[in-house]
Amino acid sequence: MNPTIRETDGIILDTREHGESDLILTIFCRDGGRSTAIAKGARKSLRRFVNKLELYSFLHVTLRQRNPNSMALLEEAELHAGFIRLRKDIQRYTAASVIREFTLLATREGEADERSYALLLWAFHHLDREMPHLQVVMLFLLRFHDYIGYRPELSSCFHCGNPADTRKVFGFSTVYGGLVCNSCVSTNNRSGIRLSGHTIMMLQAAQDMPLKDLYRLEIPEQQLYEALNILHRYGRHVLGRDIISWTMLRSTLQARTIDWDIQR
Amino acid sequence: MQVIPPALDRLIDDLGKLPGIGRKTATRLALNVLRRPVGYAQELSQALAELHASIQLCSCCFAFSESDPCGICADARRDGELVCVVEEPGDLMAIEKTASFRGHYHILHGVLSPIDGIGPDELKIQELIARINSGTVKEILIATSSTVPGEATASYLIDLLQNAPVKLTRLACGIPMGMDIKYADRHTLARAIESRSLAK
Repeated sequence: MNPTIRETDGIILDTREHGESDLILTIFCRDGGRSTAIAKGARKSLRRFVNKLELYSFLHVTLRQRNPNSMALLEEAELHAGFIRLRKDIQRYTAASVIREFTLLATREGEADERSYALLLWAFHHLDREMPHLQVVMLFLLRFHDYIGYRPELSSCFHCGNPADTRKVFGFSTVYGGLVCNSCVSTNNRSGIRLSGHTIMMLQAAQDMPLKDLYRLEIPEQQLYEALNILHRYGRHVLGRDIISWTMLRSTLQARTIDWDIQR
Repeated sequence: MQVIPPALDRLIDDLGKLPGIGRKTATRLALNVLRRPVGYAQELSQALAELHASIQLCSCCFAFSESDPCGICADARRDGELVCVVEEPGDLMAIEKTASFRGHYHILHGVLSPIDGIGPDELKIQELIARINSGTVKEILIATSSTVPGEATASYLIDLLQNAPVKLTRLACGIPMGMDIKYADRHTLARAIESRSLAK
């Protein structure tokens, strides 16, 4: 069988050392989705791949695959962007880790999805710029759930159809992936995580807005935390496990100050 | 029918648990041990058996050592006011090979890796703060790798130690020796230009 050669763009989501000098990479590609590839000699070569194969690197790659069941071989890589700010800011680094972990847990090898690829690229691009890191994480999770088939139903109560508006407070059921109104909570014994009408409206807008315009959304802190809370819990339900990086995302929000016993 | 004798199979399984060693390499190593004189296998097993009993972490720098403090921390000729912070014991060995660093070390035993559940509390960062608070340190040289997790850890340390009563320095980063700059990526080249040093 003749080997197939694939040229595409992709973002490195994982790197693992293999043997003396190789690297096994998980790349989320524009064509072909999540792909695993081996980069021979990548850890020792000073020229071929020199420091291009870093976590979160956005590359143009050439992959050679002998047959559909074999691991692809990375033949060439050209760096488009390194998202340098992710290494210089611990909060952005941790936010990127949440996005990376969620993507790795929610996708499978070879499932091509150009929308997920575009969203990943959008998220790392904005983490590398000025957008608040929690806003990027929240918007990523909201859209990514949609793309993997778990779009949160935010237009009305999933039980009675009572439509959402800014004057009402709803709950969000992670089991049903949708809103539950106050009356259904009390009469039908449904439970949900509290969500204000304003947060629901913001999430509805963010679900359908073109990706390129998402950066325009100005999200008040209260709404952002409410939205993150439900998306984190919903993600835990969808994945069947928690996102490990979330613990550190939460802890980086608390500033650490040290009382130095000695003076300069 | 069992092709591989159980004792050999067990050794292959155990060697295969080591990083970077698959079953094929483990088989090759196990057969190599088997072909050598019996004394070699006995020496190897004795060395492995004594490993945990004889080696401990130095209570000062957290390097692996047979004594506490380790040879480097106990060496009065070295500069205890300069402390080089590294990720792993292997990094200490690499810097020692250069013979150009005469200070002490502090080993973090890892880098920040949220996806693996490794946060600041899992590294030897509190111990570094305690060391600075002891008043013996004048300069901290952060020598974590230039990888994404290494740089993120360095950035975290730089933020954390911003007001510490010590001079804070970072290992220089740029073009490796023997490299043609045509092959350097633009980030490395940009960093090398930013970190340029006086030539005269």
